[in-house]
Amino acid sequence: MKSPRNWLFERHQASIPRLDAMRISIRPSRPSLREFFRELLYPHRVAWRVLAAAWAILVLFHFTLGRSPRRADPSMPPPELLAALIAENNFHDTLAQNDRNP
Amino acid sequence: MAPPDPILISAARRHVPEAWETLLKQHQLPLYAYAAELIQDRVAAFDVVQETFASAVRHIESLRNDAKFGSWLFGIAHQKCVQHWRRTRRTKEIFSAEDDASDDWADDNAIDPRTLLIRQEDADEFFALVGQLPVPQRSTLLLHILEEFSLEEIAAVTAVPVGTVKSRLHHAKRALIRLVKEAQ
Repeated sequence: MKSPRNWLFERHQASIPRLDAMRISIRPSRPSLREFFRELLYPHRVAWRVLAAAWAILVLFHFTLGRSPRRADPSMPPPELLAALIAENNFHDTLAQNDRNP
Repeated sequence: MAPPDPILISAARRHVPEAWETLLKQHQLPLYAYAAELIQDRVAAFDVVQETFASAVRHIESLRNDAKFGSWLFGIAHQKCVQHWRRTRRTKEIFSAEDDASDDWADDNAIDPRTLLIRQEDADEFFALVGQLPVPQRSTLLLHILEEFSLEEIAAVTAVPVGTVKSRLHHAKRALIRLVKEAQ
Protein backbone atom coordinates (compact mmCIF):
# COMPACT_ATOMS: atom_id res chain seq x y z
CA MET A 1 0.00 0.00 0.00
CA LYS A 2 1.38 3.36 -1.05
CA SER A 3 0.20 6.95 -1.23
CA PRO A 4 -0.87 8.38 -4.62
CA ARG A 5 2.31 10.48 -4.62
CA ASN A 6 4.50 7.40 -4.35
CA TRP A 7 2.48 5.56 -7.00
CA LEU A 8 2.83 8.57 -9.31
CA PHE A 9 6.59 8.50 -8.95
CA GLU A 10 6.65 4.76 -9.51
CA ARG A 11 4.51 5.09 -12.64
CA HIS A 12 7.07 7.46 -14.14
CA GLN A 13 10.26 5.87 -12.80
CA ALA A 14 11.20 4.71 -16.31
CA SER A 15 11.47 8.33 -17.46
CA ILE A 16 14.41 9.09 -15.14
CA PRO A 17 17.30 8.21 -17.54
CA ARG A 18 15.86 10.46 -20.24
CA LEU A 19 15.22 13.22 -17.70
CA ASP A 20 18.82 12.90 -16.47
CA ALA A 21 20.12 13.27 -20.01
CA MET A 22 17.87 16.26 -20.57
CA ARG A 23 19.00 17.91 -17.35
CA ILE A 24 22.67 17.46 -18.20
CA SER A 25 22.10 19.10 -21.59
CA ILE A 26 20.91 22.28 -19.87
CA ARG A 27 23.96 24.49 -19.49
CA PRO A 28 23.34 27.55 -17.39
CA SER A 29 25.34 30.52 -18.58
CA ARG A 30 25.36 34.19 -17.85
CA PRO A 31 22.96 36.01 -20.19
CA SER A 32 24.51 37.97 -23.04
CA LEU A 33 24.27 41.76 -23.04
CA ARG A 34 21.39 41.54 -25.50
CA GLU A 35 19.52 39.03 -23.31
CA PHE A 36 20.25 41.17 -20.25
CA PHE A 37 18.64 44.23 -21.83
CA ARG A 38 15.76 42.19 -23.19
CA GLU A 39 15.06 40.78 -19.72
CA LEU A 40 15.46 44.24 -18.21
CA LEU A 41 13.06 45.91 -20.64
CA TYR A 42 10.65 43.16 -21.64
CA PRO A 43 8.91 42.48 -18.30
CA HIS A 44 8.18 46.20 -17.88
CA ARG A 45 7.27 47.02 -21.45
CA VAL A 46 4.06 48.86 -20.47
CA ALA A 47 6.00 51.08 -18.07
CA TRP A 48 8.63 51.76 -20.74
CA ARG A 49 5.93 52.65 -23.28
CA VAL A 50 4.27 55.06 -20.83
CA LEU A 51 7.65 56.63 -20.09
CA ALA A 52 8.41 56.96 -23.82
CA ALA A 53 4.99 58.53 -24.43
CA ALA A 54 5.57 61.01 -21.57
CA TRP A 55 8.92 62.00 -23.08
CA ALA A 56 7.36 62.39 -26.52
CA ILE A 57 4.71 64.71 -25.07
CA LEU A 58 7.40 66.73 -23.26
CA VAL A 59 9.46 67.10 -26.44
CA LEU A 60 6.34 68.10 -28.38
CA PHE A 61 5.49 70.75 -25.77
CA HIS A 62 9.06 71.99 -25.79
CA PHE A 63 9.07 72.65 -29.53
CA THR A 64 5.48 73.94 -29.66
CA LEU A 65 5.98 76.42 -26.81
CA GLY A 66 9.49 77.34 -28.01
CA ARG A 67 8.02 78.97 -31.14
CA SER A 68 5.34 80.98 -29.36
CA PRO A 69 6.13 84.63 -28.40
CA ARG A 70 7.93 84.74 -25.10
CA ARG A 71 6.85 86.99 -22.31
CA ALA A 72 8.73 90.32 -22.35
CA ASP A 73 11.53 90.81 -19.89
CA PRO A 74 10.06 93.01 -17.10
CA SER A 75 13.37 94.94 -16.79
CA MET A 76 13.13 96.08 -20.47
CA PRO A 77 11.03 99.17 -21.47
CA PRO A 78 7.87 98.52 -23.48
CA PRO A 79 8.49 98.13 -27.26
CA GLU A 80 6.66 101.42 -28.09
CA LEU A 81 8.91 103.41 -25.73
CA LEU A 82 11.96 101.65 -27.08
CA ALA A 83 10.95 102.57 -30.67
CA ALA A 84 10.40 106.20 -29.61
CA LEU A 85 13.80 106.33 -27.91
CA ILE A 86 15.50 104.92 -31.00
CA ALA A 87 13.67 107.42 -33.22
CA GLU A 88 14.73 110.29 -30.91
CA ASN A 89 18.29 109.03 -30.90
CA ASN A 90 18.30 108.93 -34.72
CA PHE A 91 16.84 112.45 -34.80
CA HIS A 92 19.66 113.72 -32.54
CA ASP A 93 22.25 112.01 -34.74
CA THR A 94 20.76 113.68 -37.82
CA LEU A 95 20.82 117.10 -36.10
CA ALA A 96 24.43 116.61 -35.00
CA GLN A 97 25.39 115.60 -38.55
CA ASN A 98 23.68 118.72 -39.94
CA ASP A 99 25.58 120.90 -37.44
CA ARG A 100 28.89 119.44 -38.60
CA ASN A 101 28.01 119.89 -42.33
CA PRO A 102 26.05 123.16 -42.62
CA MET B 1 8.79 18.85 -0.71
CA ALA B 2 11.02 20.80 1.69
CA PRO B 3 11.85 24.36 0.68
CA PRO B 4 15.10 24.50 -1.29
CA ASP B 5 18.35 25.48 0.30
CA PRO B 6 18.70 29.30 0.05
CA ILE B 7 22.41 28.88 -0.71
CA LEU B 8 21.49 26.69 -3.70
CA ILE B 9 19.04 29.28 -5.03
CA SER B 10 21.57 32.01 -4.50
CA ALA B 11 24.15 30.00 -6.46
CA ALA B 12 21.57 29.29 -9.18
CA ARG B 13 20.99 33.03 -9.49
CA ARG B 14 24.72 33.36 -10.17
CA HIS B 15 24.37 30.65 -12.88
CA VAL B 16 26.49 28.08 -11.02
CA PRO B 17 25.98 24.81 -12.99
CA GLU B 18 26.19 22.53 -9.91
CA ALA B 19 23.40 24.44 -8.18
CA TRP B 20 21.14 24.03 -11.19
CA GLU B 21 22.08 20.36 -11.47
CA THR B 22 20.93 19.75 -7.87
CA LEU B 23 17.76 21.85 -8.11
CA LEU B 24 16.59 20.36 -11.39
CA LYS B 25 17.38 16.82 -10.24
CA GLN B 26 15.19 17.38 -7.17
CA HIS B 27 12.27 18.52 -9.28
CA GLN B 28 12.57 16.58 -12.54
CA LEU B 29 10.43 13.59 -11.59
CA PRO B 30 7.57 15.53 -9.93
CA LEU B 31 7.56 17.94 -12.89
CA TYR B 32 7.48 15.11 -15.40
CA ALA B 33 4.77 13.23 -13.47
CA TYR B 34 2.69 16.41 -13.33
CA ALA B 35 3.04 17.16 -17.04
CA ALA B 36 2.52 13.53 -18.12
CA GLU B 37 -0.61 13.06 -16.01
CA LEU B 38 -1.98 16.48 -16.90
CA ILE B 39 -1.57 16.38 -20.66
CA GLN B 40 -1.88 12.57 -20.83
CA ASP B 41 0.98 12.39 -23.27
CA ARG B 42 4.27 10.99 -22.00
CA VAL B 43 6.28 12.04 -25.06
CA ALA B 44 5.03 15.64 -25.02
CA ALA B 45 5.68 15.71 -21.25
CA PHE B 46 9.43 15.39 -21.94
CA ASP B 47 9.23 18.50 -24.13
CA VAL B 48 7.35 20.32 -21.40
CA VAL B 49 10.02 19.44 -18.83
CA GLN B 50 12.86 20.43 -21.15
CA GLU B 51 11.23 23.77 -21.97
CA THR B 52 10.58 24.31 -18.26
CA PHE B 53 14.23 23.68 -17.40
CA ALA B 54 15.46 26.03 -20.12
CA SER B 55 12.99 28.73 -19.17
CA ALA B 56 13.82 28.45 -15.45
CA VAL B 57 17.54 28.82 -16.11
CA ARG B 58 16.96 31.79 -18.41
CA HIS B 59 14.49 33.62 -16.16
CA ILE B 60 15.75 32.90 -12.65
CA GLU B 61 15.80 36.68 -12.04
CA SER B 62 11.99 36.65 -12.13
CA LEU B 63 11.88 34.43 -9.01
CA ARG B 64 10.92 36.89 -6.26
CA ASN B 65 10.73 34.61 -3.24
CA ASP B 66 13.48 31.98 -3.00
CA ALA B 67 11.35 29.81 -0.69
CA LYS B 68 8.78 29.50 -3.49
CA PHE B 69 11.21 28.01 -6.03
CA GLY B 70 9.13 24.82 -6.31
CA SER B 71 5.83 26.55 -7.04
CA TRP B 72 7.62 28.98 -9.39
CA LEU B 73 9.01 26.01 -11.35
CA PHE B 74 5.61 24.29 -11.46
CA GLY B 75 4.08 27.59 -12.60
CA ILE B 76 6.43 27.56 -15.60
CA ALA B 77 5.59 23.90 -16.30
CA HIS B 78 1.87 24.65 -16.08
CA GLN B 79 2.25 27.46 -18.61
CA LYS B 80 4.18 25.12 -20.91
CA CYS B 81 1.31 22.60 -20.67
CA VAL B 82 -1.16 25.36 -21.61
CA GLN B 83 1.11 26.30 -24.54
CA HIS B 84 1.14 22.63 -25.57
CA TRP B 85 -2.68 22.66 -25.68
CA ARG B 86 -2.65 25.91 -27.62
CA ARG B 87 -0.38 24.30 -30.17
CA THR B 88 -2.70 21.33 -30.43
CA ARG B 89 -5.71 23.73 -30.42
CA ARG B 90 -7.44 21.96 -27.59
CA THR B 91 -7.39 24.79 -25.05
CA LYS B 92 -11.01 25.82 -25.43
CA GLU B 93 -12.30 22.28 -25.38
CA ILE B 94 -10.23 21.45 -22.29
CA PHE B 95 -10.95 24.53 -20.23
CA SER B 96 -14.63 24.67 -21.09
CA ALA B 97 -14.99 21.41 -19.20
CA GLU B 98 -14.51 23.32 -15.97
CA ASP B 99 -17.33 23.38 -13.48
CA ASP B 100 -16.82 26.15 -10.96
CA ALA B 101 -20.34 26.15 -9.59
CA SER B 102 -20.16 26.94 -5.91
CA ASP B 103 -21.09 24.22 -3.54
CA ASP B 104 -21.11 23.47 0.15
CA TRP B 105 -17.50 22.73 1.10
CA ALA B 106 -18.32 21.59 4.63
CA ASP B 107 -17.17 18.04 3.87
CA ASP B 108 -13.97 19.24 2.23
CA ASN B 109 -11.74 17.53 4.78
CA ALA B 110 -13.77 14.35 4.76
CA ILE B 111 -11.40 12.84 2.20
CA ASP B 112 -7.81 13.76 1.56
CA PRO B 113 -6.38 12.05 -1.53
CA ARG B 114 -2.86 12.59 -0.19
CA THR B 115 -3.47 10.27 2.75
CA LEU B 116 -5.12 7.51 0.74
CA LEU B 117 -3.26 4.25 0.66
CA ILE B 118 -3.68 2.36 -2.56
CA ARG B 119 -2.86 -1.22 -3.40
CA GLN B 120 -0.74 -1.92 -6.44
CA GLU B 121 -3.65 -3.49 -8.35
CA ASP B 122 -5.75 -0.36 -7.73
CA ALA B 123 -3.10 2.25 -8.59
CA ASP B 124 -3.58 2.16 -12.37
CA GLU B 125 -7.33 2.35 -11.94
CA PHE B 126 -6.96 5.29 -9.55
CA PHE B 127 -4.87 7.27 -12.03
CA ALA B 128 -7.19 6.33 -14.87
CA LEU B 129 -9.97 7.93 -12.82
CA VAL B 130 -7.81 11.01 -12.17
CA GLY B 131 -7.27 11.17 -15.93
CA GLN B 132 -11.02 11.36 -16.44
CA LEU B 133 -11.33 14.53 -14.36
CA PRO B 134 -11.72 17.84 -16.21
CA VAL B 135 -8.27 19.35 -16.75
CA PRO B 136 -8.51 22.26 -14.26
CA GLN B 137 -9.59 19.86 -11.50
CA ARG B 138 -6.96 17.32 -12.51
CA SER B 139 -4.25 19.96 -12.43
CA THR B 140 -5.29 21.16 -8.97
CA LEU B 141 -5.52 17.63 -7.61
CA LEU B 142 -2.12 16.63 -9.03
CA LEU B 143 -0.43 19.67 -7.49
CA HIS B 144 -2.16 18.86 -4.20
CA ILE B 145 -1.02 15.24 -4.28
CA LEU B 146 2.44 15.67 -5.76
CA GLU B 147 3.91 18.64 -3.97
CA GLU B 148 1.45 19.24 -1.13
CA PHE B 149 1.24 22.87 -2.23
CA SER B 150 -0.98 25.20 -0.22
CA LEU B 151 -4.11 26.60 -1.87
CA GLU B 152 -2.26 29.91 -2.35
CA GLU B 153 0.65 28.15 -4.05
CA ILE B 154 -1.68 26.20 -6.36
CA ALA B 155 -3.43 29.48 -7.16
CA ALA B 156 -0.05 31.01 -8.07
CA VAL B 157 0.93 28.00 -10.20
CA THR B 158 -2.33 27.88 -12.14
CA ALA B 159 -2.85 31.68 -12.18
CA VAL B 160 -6.38 31.61 -10.75
CA PRO B 161 -7.89 33.01 -7.52
CA VAL B 162 -7.66 30.96 -4.31
CA GLY B 163 -11.47 30.55 -4.29
CA THR B 164 -11.32 28.87 -7.68
CA VAL B 165 -8.62 26.47 -6.43
CA LYS B 166 -10.79 25.60 -3.42
CA SER B 167 -13.73 24.95 -5.69
CA ARG B 168 -11.68 22.84 -8.13
CA LEU B 169 -10.18 20.75 -5.35
CA HIS B 170 -13.58 20.20 -3.82
CA HIS B 171 -15.08 19.15 -7.14
CA ALA B 172 -12.09 16.94 -7.92
CA LYS B 173 -12.49 15.06 -4.62
CA ARG B 174 -16.22 14.64 -5.15
CA ALA B 175 -15.73 13.52 -8.74
CA LEU B 176 -13.13 10.99 -7.59
CA ILE B 177 -15.52 9.55 -5.03
CA ARG B 178 -18.25 9.37 -7.67
CA LEU B 179 -15.93 7.70 -10.18
CA VAL B 180 -14.75 5.17 -7.58
CA LYS B 181 -18.35 4.31 -6.74
CA GLU B 182 -19.22 3.94 -10.41
CA ALA B 183 -16.18 1.75 -11.00
CA GLN B 184 -17.11 -0.62 -8.14
